Amino acid sequence: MKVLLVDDNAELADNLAELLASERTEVFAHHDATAALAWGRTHDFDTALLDVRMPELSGVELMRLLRVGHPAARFVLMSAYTQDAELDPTQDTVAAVLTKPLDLPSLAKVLGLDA
Amino acid sequence: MAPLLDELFRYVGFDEQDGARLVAASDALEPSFQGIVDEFYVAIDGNREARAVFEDEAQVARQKGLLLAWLRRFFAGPYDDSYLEERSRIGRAHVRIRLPQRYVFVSMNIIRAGLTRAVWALDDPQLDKIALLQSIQRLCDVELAIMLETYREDYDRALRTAERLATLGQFAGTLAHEMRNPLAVLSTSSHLLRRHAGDDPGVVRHVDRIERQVAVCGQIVDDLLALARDSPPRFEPVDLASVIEFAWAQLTKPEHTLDVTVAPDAGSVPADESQLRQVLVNLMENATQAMTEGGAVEVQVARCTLTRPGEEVDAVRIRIEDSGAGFTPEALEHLFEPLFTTKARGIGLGLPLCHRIVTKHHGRLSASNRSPRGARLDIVLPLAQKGMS
Repeated sequence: MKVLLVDDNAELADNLAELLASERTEVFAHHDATAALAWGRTHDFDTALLDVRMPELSGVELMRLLRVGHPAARFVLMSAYTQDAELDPTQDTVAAVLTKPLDLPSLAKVLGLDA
Repeated sequence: MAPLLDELFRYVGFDEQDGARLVAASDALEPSFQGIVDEFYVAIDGNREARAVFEDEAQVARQKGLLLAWLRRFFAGPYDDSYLEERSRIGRAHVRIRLPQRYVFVSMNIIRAGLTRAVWALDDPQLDKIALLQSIQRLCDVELAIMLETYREDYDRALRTAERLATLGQFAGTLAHEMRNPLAVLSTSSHLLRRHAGDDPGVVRHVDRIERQVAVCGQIVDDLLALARDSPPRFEPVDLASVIEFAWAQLTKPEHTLDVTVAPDAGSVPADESQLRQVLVNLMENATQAMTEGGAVEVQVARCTLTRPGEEVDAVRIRIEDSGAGFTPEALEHLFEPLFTTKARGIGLGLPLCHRIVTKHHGRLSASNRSPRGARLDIVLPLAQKGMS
């Protein structure tokens, strides 16, 4: 499984990438949304784990742009703010919105990992 | 002299001559004091709402003793700052037991009438009874003004508390959210550290510590967010024995035990379960922290009556007691104000939060000291909530 992970908090992005990576899971971590978007134009992924509050592009906006080229991908949002993600139910289907600090077992479950 | 007292004396026209007149009449009037006290409590006994303020006969007996002492000081002076201090303390005690403000006037009239009769009955041809009565009336006016001042203090405090909580709430929300990102890094890092540590006991011990403290921070963040959210309670029937046990299980307390008694007719009350649990966790945690050497936290649940302006409603009282040092008078006065804390650690948000939650349940949270030592917190919640059958 390929996971695209985007969080402007670089340390958190790297930690999560290290935690989630395994023989079955390849994680591509990015620290800024624009770079992640560029990466998405030329790469494939099954699941995207996106922080909601980022400079330049919010996680929700990034999800909408990424979804165009990846209609089958699953999207998981994460935020330090509870009711943060302003989702439009007509176009935004997300697998989950997780609150930071992340509960690792529930993250693994949402991503379909057994860690 | 305190500006308040000085101003009151000048306004009412109470001067040194008045004071001297009262002191001179003290011995002659002393024999009538007990009669006035008895008369006072006969009048209170005839009033359902006023009576509801008093818990039992023992409390009435104590109050009678206090009123007798009050009358003696009225005629003994000195009418200085210590007088104001003592009278204010009595006023604050009235505020604390929630004696409705209007009773202060009715009560003072009973005293005025009693003293007037006592003065008329004096058999002393030399005595200028009109002048003495005038002095008495003037000091009664001063007394009333002091009492009302304590009610105003209380009102001001409630207002200040609400304003401070609102400001703090906004700040707390931002702070809590900002804390979540670093906490997320800390918790994921400790997770990874554990993975790399293998079974090195030295490293594992420290990873355990980091994770425990991260959890403590997480709890603080949750408290701050609860403060910021201020959501209205969602009422549902709550089983008190189980919510108490559940709250107790959330606490770390190696040296403490829990002793719960729930009266059979007080097993359940309509409440927002998670909010009530938050209140219980806070109060029981304070109780354990007050007993540094360990001991039993006693929780008693029983039916009671909640007196509100113009009505009495059936209610349940959850009483939480410890055998720690109890509260200082200063602490009792400021306990529910945000940022007031007596603990070396702690930010002083727990009790104001509890108070706000209980108030939103249309209930009452009050604190007092136990005899001979220890603190007592009473949560009183009405048995009926609007919008719930």
